[in-house]
Amino acid sequence: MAARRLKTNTVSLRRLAEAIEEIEGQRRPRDERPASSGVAAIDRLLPAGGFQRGAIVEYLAACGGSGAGSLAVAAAVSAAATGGALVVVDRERNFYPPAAEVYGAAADRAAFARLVVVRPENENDERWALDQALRCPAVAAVLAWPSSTEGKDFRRWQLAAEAGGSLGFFVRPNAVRDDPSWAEARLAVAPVGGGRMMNDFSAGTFVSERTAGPRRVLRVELLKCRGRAGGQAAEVTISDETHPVSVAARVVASAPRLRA
Amino acid sequence: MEELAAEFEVFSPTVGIAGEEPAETLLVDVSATAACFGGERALVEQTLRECARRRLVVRAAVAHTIGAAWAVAHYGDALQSAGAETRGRVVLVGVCDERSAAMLDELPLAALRLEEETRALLGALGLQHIGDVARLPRESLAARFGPELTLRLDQMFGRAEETINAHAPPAEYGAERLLEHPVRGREILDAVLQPLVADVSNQLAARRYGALSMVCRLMLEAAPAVDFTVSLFAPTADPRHLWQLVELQLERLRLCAPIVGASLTVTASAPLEHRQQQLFDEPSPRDDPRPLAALVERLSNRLGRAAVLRPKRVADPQPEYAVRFEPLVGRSLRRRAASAKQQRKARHSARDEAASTSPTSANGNECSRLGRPLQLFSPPATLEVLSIVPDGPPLRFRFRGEDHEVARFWGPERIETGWWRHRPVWRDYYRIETSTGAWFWLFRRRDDGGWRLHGEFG
Repeated sequence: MAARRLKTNTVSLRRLAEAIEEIEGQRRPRDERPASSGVAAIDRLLPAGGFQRGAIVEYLAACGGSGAGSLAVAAAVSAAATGGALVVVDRERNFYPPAAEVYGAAADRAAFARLVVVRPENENDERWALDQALRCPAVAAVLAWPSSTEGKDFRRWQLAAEAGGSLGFFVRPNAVRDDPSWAEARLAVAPVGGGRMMNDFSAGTFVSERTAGPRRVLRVELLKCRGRAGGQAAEVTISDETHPVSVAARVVASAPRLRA
Repeated sequence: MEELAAEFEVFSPTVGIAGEEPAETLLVDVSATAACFGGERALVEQTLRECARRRLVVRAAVAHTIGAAWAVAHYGDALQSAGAETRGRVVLVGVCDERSAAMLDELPLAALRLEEETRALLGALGLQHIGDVARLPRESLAARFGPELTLRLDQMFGRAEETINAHAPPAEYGAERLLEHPVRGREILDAVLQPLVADVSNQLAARRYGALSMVCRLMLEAAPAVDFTVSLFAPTADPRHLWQLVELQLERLRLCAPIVGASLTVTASAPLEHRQQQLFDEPSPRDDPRPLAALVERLSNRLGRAAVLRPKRVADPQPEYAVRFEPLVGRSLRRRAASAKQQRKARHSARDEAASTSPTSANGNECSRLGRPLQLFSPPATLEVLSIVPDGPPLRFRFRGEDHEVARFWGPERIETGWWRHRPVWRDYYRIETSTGAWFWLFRRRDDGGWRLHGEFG
């Protein structure tokens, strides 16, 4: 008796979730296929298998040099692969295109022919430039490192992305993870420390990884996503040998978190 | 060719382009200006120097008639054997005297600028040189071959007039308005500028040209004039579009004095692209280039031309110079087409390179995913080294107030530029992973052993 009630509850929960999805998602163009995140492991974490266009996606970096930017670049390249411009809003003037160009499969690199780099002088200009770029229908993906923490700015950008049908990829510091967000999906990226390999400091030697090819291991946790409770994580390896950025190691289940 | 014609106006006010596309002959009237350059020979030598500077191979000839000059320049090789006065590639011919008239007779008939048929006919009759034809009676020539042959002969020997169609320089588009009383206020400024914009766009549209870059000058009372530039991605003659961009710039202006006049000048223009209106089969909004062009223009005009850029790869070992950022607006279409072709070529060669070189080879590092950091600091950031080892990167260092401990490293990658560079570099680069898993790109300067952090693999 209890089991049947549980099953009915599960079924009605799912139906309810679908109804919510329909209501919330009505404003966005549903006919377009979702854009892959560029990494198969991350796609598996997402309910639609990718990012729906007309929204913002946030990658939260645990620290400098964490790899969040690399994943964001891979996602932006993938979103622009089928057409449309790729706009990078780089207020700090650190973006280095030769490093970005190697992300994405070779077929996706056509996106780099449509790469536009915008360098605003200050936060005001950055805010306006992001709004304009997200709003433009010819833009497929926007990549930025916005320094603002104002909710109204993100709301404005989310509306602009909806209007223009583009995908905005924002790389932000991990400190904002508990703040409310207008993003469709929020992913926390943390590097898995190098403690895995041998390093013998006690003996006074310093063993380097000269023989094996360099590889980075990142842990990506889906903090929030429309249509799914957050909490799942996956491990992603970036290395030279593997062709795309993915090589999903495993999906690490963690304690389910309440949807923010 | 038109650029060359414009350059050659230094030598004479009358410069014309002869021949059909692709034109390869420039006609320059030096009768008046030869004296300024120290004689005809000196003038020609100077033009040859100019052409050599542009790496053009030219043959030059000076003569009293256009026909003779054209003939000698094109077919003058035959004259060398006839003992003509030559020096290098310069041939000087004066038609009035007998010796040069005799020289011209030696030239082949093709030098007369005749139609194909006439030449074929003359050839069939066994007439090879100009001299053969010149000796025949004129009336029979005219009757047999039409007026063209006799006309060309007369033009060559100075008996008939021929003029050069001077090449017109590209027209200037502009409008100006001077006010009787100085005025203040945004509305009045708009009322002054809008008719000017309309006037300029009418001028452009009349010649089917569009503006790529326009300078607006506001003359102030007792203060220096204020200039601003409106740059466009694609040529346009639409007054509303131009006015929108002018307005964007006006919003950012703060004028300290009343205005006494305004002027608009188009500094770069190009033919308008004709676009067929499509009745059916609407292209997807993402493929339509116009919204993107409009976005680029809006961004460039508000943030500045140097703020909206396209990156271009440069084959330079020094990482900070391996990419060059170019503004997207205000560039001439020809240069853009050339760079687009170069980009396609570069991409083809890069793809070939990627296929052939292994990811870890020295210059194949650009193709490897972990070879270069996503964020490159310019200039490279200083770090405080807390402990070092003799062979390898520092064990611990402080960067931006945080201490980092190095867990793994890859390298060194040695980057050296030649001594002939203005500021050569000798650097040993290391990719390091800290104990927290963050990746950075450090280098040690080989000249002073100092360590810098050049980028992070964000």
